[in-house]
Amino acid sequence: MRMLFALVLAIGVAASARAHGQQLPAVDAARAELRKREATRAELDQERARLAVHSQELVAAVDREKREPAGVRHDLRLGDLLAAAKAESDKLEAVAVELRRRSTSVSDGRRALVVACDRALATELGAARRLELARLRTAQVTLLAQVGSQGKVVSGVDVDPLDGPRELLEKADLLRDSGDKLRREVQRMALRIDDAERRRHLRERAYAVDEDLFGDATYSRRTAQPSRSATVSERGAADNAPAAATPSPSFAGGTGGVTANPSPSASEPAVVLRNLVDPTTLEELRRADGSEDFDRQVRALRRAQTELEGLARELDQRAQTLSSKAATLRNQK
Amino acid sequence: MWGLIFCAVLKLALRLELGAEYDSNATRAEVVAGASTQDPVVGAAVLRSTARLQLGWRKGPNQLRVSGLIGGKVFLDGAVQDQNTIVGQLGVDEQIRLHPRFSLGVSGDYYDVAQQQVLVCTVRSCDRHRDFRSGSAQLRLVGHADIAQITLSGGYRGFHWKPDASFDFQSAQAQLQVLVRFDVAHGKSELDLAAGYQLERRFYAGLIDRNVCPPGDPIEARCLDVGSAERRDWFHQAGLELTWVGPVLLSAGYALQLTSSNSFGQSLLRGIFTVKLGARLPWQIFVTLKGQLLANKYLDPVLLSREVNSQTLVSIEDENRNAFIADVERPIGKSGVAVEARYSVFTNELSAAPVSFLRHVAYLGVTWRFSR
Repeated sequence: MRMLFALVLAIGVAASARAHGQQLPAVDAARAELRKREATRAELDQERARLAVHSQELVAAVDREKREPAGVRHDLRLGDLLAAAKAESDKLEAVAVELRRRSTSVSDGRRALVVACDRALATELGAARRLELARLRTAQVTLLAQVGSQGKVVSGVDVDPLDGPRELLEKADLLRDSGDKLRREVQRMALRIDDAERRRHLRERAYAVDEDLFGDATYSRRTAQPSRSATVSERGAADNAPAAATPSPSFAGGTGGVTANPSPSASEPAVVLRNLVDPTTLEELRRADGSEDFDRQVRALRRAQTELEGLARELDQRAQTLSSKAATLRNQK
Repeated sequence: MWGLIFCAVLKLALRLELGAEYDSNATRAEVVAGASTQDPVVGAAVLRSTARLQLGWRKGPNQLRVSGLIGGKVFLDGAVQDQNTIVGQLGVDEQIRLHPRFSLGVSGDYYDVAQQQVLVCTVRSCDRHRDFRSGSAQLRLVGHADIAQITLSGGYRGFHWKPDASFDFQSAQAQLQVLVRFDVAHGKSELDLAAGYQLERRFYAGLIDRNVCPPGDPIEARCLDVGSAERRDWFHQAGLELTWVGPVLLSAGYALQLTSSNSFGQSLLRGIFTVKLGARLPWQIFVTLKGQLLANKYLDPVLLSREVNSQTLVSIEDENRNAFIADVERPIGKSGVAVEARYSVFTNELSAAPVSFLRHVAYLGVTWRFSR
């Protein structure tokens, strides 16, 4: 009876442990809020682009009108056009002001997401979750270091032209700090690899003492028990099922909304860190997390480790570039 | 092109072992209390080696595994050359994924142990053979869930006991096995629960033994007579095992075996309790301890005045003993080479039976593994 109770308790602990690992509501909420802010900014950015085009057309029309022969009608048309151009320019200015406000709001949302990721990473999570969070955090930091005053994502390590040496150094520090955090994740992953290998070895040795090729003393051979190794491989085979057949849980963990959006946001790691993030690494790690195939687990962890090391190096390089730019700007002054 | 595909799907694992052993009871001699002649207990040094190869292919929903093994051990003492043994095993397993949650498997397995034939017997124990061969063909259905796996299998198993063909049997068997693995503390440790039940109907080649003495009389050699019916056994085994793998490995299991035979003296109820402890010590030394205790209850009256001359095989599980095994392994870097030392003791000294058995085995060897 006591054993049964202990078993039920152990199952309960295990189930709650699993459930805890699945839920990251703060990150989900911060991510959803960021997406909302990005969407409203993108909407306004489209409006700004439309207004800019219209404004350009009006300026061109004014130029054309100026070249026309003078006259009362011409003056009236030119006056109307100039008034319209001024009104359009005013609208554009207002939109630009609002766009800057929304860009600031997006940056704030991004920082909030970074904080939420940090808090989640401070807890105990599975390797796949940690990789996902590390990627997400790195993407946000990369964007924070790149975003110009107009809120546009710029390529490479181009920065806001209005950034001075102080802003550039702050961004460089942010990138370096993020690189350090990634290296800590790399170390944590190394510990996980060691842990997985140790457990695999302990299981192998426990199996080895059962096995007796010369039929000396164990009951397992004579009673034709199905081999454990076969069982493990079968589980491994189950994990190799096509991803569509065994959908992995979404990052949102069923909270809805966040992962339901099929179009990737600009802040998605795969979009931001296009050359450094391999989507299959995360999928492999997710499947390996729930698998009994230790070789597969170790392979997936090593792959993730390599990716995080690459990301850390990239952040360091970007930080170095920003520091150099800051030094150049200082020297110019 | 085909070569590339072949390489991509091939999984290969090779393991070679070579070592030296000291066996304190090379002939597995039992000491019978009060017997006029005793089988001598002979200790001897042994050289042993094994080679195993596993190959795996996967293509679409199909997964094929082939495994082979060959091993041998040679005693250095000329008095126990009949104990020189060669072992061979071949297994083939094909699994087809029918559905993300189900797969169907078919497997075949052949295992053969052969002991050296000694033509001139200078000692009594020279013909103490325990070699056998067995083969099986099974069909299985496996259900996969997130943390659980249920396997239902059934098929044929044949067993040939080389020293005495009357113990050969053909059998139909069915098994149900459930394996559940829980991640505890976010994957830092694992808890496995394995439970299983096996049913086997054995059709022996030999005839039954009968007790011709009146009920209640003590069983003596004269009471046993050979009947005209063929021996038929039901074999049941139910087992439960809990394994926790965290900083250390802890495992406890209990299996209950019931052999119900129409042959007198062959029905048996056996409980097997097993515990294991494994740990990684500093300097990458892996230590595994295993203890196994057996409790037998013979369902027919036991022949007490068993002389050496009347010793016969009680059942194919006769070699099962209480056991304690201490295994130490030290992998050498990432080379795949490991040094292994093992001490085992097998005994029935804990029981009150008049037949005592004690065997110590110490092994020191090297293992090399390769896999890709």
